Amino acid sequence: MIGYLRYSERLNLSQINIYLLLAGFAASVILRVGIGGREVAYSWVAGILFAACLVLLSIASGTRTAINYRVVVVGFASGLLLLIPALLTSSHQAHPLGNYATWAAIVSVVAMAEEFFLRGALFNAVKKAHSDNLAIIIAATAFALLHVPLYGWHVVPLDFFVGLYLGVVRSFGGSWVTPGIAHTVADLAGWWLV
Amino acid sequence: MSFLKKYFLFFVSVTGIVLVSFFSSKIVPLYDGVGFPDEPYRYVKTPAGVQNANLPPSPAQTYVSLTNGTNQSDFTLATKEQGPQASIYVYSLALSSQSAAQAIVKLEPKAPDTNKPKIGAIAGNIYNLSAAPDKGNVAFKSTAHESRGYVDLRLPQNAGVNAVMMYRSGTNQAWRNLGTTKVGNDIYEANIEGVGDYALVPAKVASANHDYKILALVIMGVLVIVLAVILALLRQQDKKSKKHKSKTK
Repeated sequence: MIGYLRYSERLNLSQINIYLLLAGFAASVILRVGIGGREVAYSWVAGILFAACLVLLSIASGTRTAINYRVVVVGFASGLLLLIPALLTSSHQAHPLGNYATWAAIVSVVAMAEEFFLRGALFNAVKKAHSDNLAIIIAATAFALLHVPLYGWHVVPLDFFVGLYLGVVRSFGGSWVTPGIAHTVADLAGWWLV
Repeated sequence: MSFLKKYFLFFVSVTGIVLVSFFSSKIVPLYDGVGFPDEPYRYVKTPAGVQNANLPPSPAQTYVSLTNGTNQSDFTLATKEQGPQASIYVYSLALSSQSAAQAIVKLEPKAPDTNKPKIGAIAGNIYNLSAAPDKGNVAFKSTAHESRGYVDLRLPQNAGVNAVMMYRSGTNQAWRNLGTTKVGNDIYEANIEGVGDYALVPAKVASANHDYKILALVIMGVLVIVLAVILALLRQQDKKSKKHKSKTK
């Protein structure tokens, strides 16, 4: 391990961080799909475990959390804009309210964990090694691909653009918490709009 | 990032979201990956050993106006379950009639009967697609079936991981396979062949060795932990080397 660490000193540490984070992300997705199986999109256990993996990787990479008034306000405002797809494609079918609280809690945890990792750890690593733009694009690509095992390839275009948008929001807000709030607001509103 | 670049990416992303949402009818506008749970499958006739949903499956119907002998706009129809068990999307100009001004298009669930597909047993209900005109006849045009629209059926829980959609034009006709695409977690789609019966038959998939699956999952879990440890160690090492460099300066 020490030898590896010394060797890594000679390499670009930020670049190595990106590879490690992407490998961890891939392993987390595989773990989630493996546990959730055919019902992965509806498996709350798989979702929570996936979130735990992302949080672990983000903390290990030293991702910091900044919360202030601006972060929260921009986050909420950006979340409202993310409701456009739901409003445009809505079937307006009401969902039973019975398990909303549990669903909302899990959805919030998963959404925040995804943002902590994608627009936090991964974004910071790519930004440090390359640029803000590349960080936004790589995080958006990972975000789009993450949903393929759950919903199929047809969600890639929308999720890629949503990922780009969340990346820009991250850049504006200055913290992963901003897209985290936007993402959570959009998801929670989906109960009534989808 | 410069101010202009920020706004350019913002514009691109918002435009992309609006355009993709506007032009697609099959998007799941959720970004977290935890979907609304489906209710248990509702059977016309519940198979032995399967939990009964205690609710009958819902039929669906819609009135379609026909102008110049055809429907001038797209229309959709879905059954009312949480996670519709059957739905159709019909393109404009897909229906054809010489004299009708209106048609009732219906999707009705039926129990599997004695006329079984050769490739396996039907999972769930058969869904009968019909179109009844106010006068004369109405049918789907005999043009390329891609231009008529598509049918989506939901596979019941625990019915397998893959399925093929089957079609027959009448109760006594033979079932035949349709080109089937999995478009969601458990939704299967095929082009509309015409009025008649549609059903899903689970595809035979070699069962994976359960022990190997658990082992693979454990390896993935350990891999995540190992990667997290390496990330943390690298960060520590980076901090140390920065301290060392600042001291030597």
